[in-house]
Amino acid sequence: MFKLNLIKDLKLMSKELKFKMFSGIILLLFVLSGIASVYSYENSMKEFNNSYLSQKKLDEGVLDKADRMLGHNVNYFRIPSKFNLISEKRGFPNGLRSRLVVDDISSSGFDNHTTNYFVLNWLFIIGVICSFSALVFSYNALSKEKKDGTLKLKLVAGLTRHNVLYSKYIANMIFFAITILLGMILSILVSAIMGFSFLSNLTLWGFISLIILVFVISLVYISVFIWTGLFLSLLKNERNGIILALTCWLLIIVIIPNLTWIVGKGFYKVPSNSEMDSQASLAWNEEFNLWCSKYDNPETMENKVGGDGYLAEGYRSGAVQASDEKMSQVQTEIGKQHLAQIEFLEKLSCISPYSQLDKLFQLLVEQGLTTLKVEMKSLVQHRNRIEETLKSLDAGDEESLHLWYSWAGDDGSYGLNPFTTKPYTDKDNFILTKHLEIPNRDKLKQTTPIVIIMLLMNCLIVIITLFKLKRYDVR
Amino acid sequence: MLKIDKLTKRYEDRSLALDSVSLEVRRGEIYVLLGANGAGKSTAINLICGFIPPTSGDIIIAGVDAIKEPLKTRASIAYLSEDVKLYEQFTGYENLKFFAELAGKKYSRAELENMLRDISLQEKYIHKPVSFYSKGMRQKTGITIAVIKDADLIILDEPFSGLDPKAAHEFQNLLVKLRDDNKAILMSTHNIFKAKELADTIGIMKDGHLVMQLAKKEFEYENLETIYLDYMDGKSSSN
Repeated sequence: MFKLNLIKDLKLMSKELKFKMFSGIILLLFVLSGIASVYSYENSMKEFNNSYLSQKKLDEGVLDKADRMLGHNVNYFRIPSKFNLISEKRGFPNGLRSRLVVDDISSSGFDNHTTNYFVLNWLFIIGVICSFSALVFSYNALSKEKKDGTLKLKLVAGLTRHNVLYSKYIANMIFFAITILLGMILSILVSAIMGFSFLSNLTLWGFISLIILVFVISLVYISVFIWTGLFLSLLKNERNGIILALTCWLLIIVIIPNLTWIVGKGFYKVPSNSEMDSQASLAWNEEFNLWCSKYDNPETMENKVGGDGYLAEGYRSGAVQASDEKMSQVQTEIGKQHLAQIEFLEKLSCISPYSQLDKLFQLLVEQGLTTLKVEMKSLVQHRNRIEETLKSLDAGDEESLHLWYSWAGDDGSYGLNPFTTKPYTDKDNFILTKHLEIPNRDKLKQTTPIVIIMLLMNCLIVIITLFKLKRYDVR
Repeated sequence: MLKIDKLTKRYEDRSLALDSVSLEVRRGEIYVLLGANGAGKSTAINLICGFIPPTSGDIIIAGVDAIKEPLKTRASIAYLSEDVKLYEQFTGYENLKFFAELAGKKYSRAELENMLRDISLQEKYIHKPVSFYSKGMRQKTGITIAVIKDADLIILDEPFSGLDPKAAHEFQNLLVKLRDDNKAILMSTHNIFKAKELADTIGIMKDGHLVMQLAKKEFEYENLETIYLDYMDGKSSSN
């Protein structure tokens, strides 16, 4: 009897205009997301290449200057500041896989190696559109049956009110399972046909299991909205149902995530970017001035540190090195505070299922804060490896001045730049082309606690709905 | 077939919708509950069908306690409400097929179509979505859904509502046939004339009380309208 009713519910859904309309819209958005991702990716690649070329040009200018001053042919490489890797990422995280496969470690700024290219992304489709559809589909599921007199006919036929409710839930879930899965496949197919590779560093199985994870999590998320809608369908007034459905949707998708972010920032204060810049610059100047006061003679104008300094004696490079270190300490400290604030805000906003989905997608597609931490670790390790290589090369170079010099401030970058006379033969190594992939098993571990929270949220709404159903007046 | 004893319903707002109502509907009998709007007819029917729980009292259907075993007793009940709209996206045929299957009945396509023809549903409407149906056409389809279950107890809440005279007459004949087939029929109405024509027993309800029960011989040659109106105006005493 239950199966019969379920089949009827599915047939009914397939005939209703709102289901046809929304499934069409969802599928279309998935297809468009595939197309948009390809174009966006290509644009990002262009931007990346342009940025890389301009960086190279800048570096060449620095090299010329070094050549002139030192009278040596030198090879030069800038190492990015750790702080440049910390960046607040907000808004919709993008798509399924959201990184370019080429990282330029010599470029400054986090954005250069995590370029976003899913403009119309899956989080938007599933998190915003599907959740809205789920509420629109279910907010009058029972109230309509009651109004049309079919609920009583079903009950007399022997179905329980629980049967009717579960059937509605399962029918809605089946609808979304089919639509989302079909949408994902279409999106991938369209992108693949347009020549975009989703695989990156993933194996085919890794990719498929990632898709399955995204799919399952999406269903758990949608389930929250279907249950919310079913609860609303038990309200006496059907008109109130649609108003409350819209209010719930706005609360979950827009109000709670943003409000917690705003309120959270008020509670958890950190220095602003401009404050941080001024503090960092102050620290640098203090240290540099300390060196100047120690080694420069303003009366005789014999400056070992200031001006261009005595490069060969190494005072200036020593001063810059020490100043950079001080500045880096300040930046790292404030950066940690920024990171902690973002972590706090993310946890706070996780009371909304949408924020939970946002976080889960970030974990799955390796974006956002969690990935940032992994990326930082990876990039710092890479940076250190390069530094060690350069140092050892420099140490073995008899003609080298063994200088580590920074043109701090010239091009807006900070850090130590080694100069050697020998060309660096393995410069390709400077470009990080392999990401530190998070294995799907680890992703599963990271996502599980949030999925559990989402499931608990489901359970809570189910309990409230069943309680309401028990007292539901079917007349 | 149906026996209710001291059935009482008090809602959460403490209003008394039904007060200690007792009645019995036997097989081969049409029992008509007559009363004004708000008299408690629909509440009684809702309680018997198990749509709402009673505050106190007993409901026995085919010897089974309907309050303790609602699912078991529902197998013996067919029900039709006043304003059944059915599934609007489904055709009349699809609605009938679904509820027939839900009742565990297997009918061929031709049989189901014939049933709809029997209630004078125009041929072109059989496979049209119910959203195109008039109220009367929906009511007719609803009647077929109730009848198709072949239940021993048929409960009808204002079944003549929305039916045109021809359809009402056909439905009346159908009810008589069902009674002759030994079905027990409980029907609510405020149509005194239909009640007189059809009923074997009439129960007059007022303010949640069953204030009068009349057997056919008691009203057959009387002016039921006068009895009813006199009672409602307080000119007569309780039976």
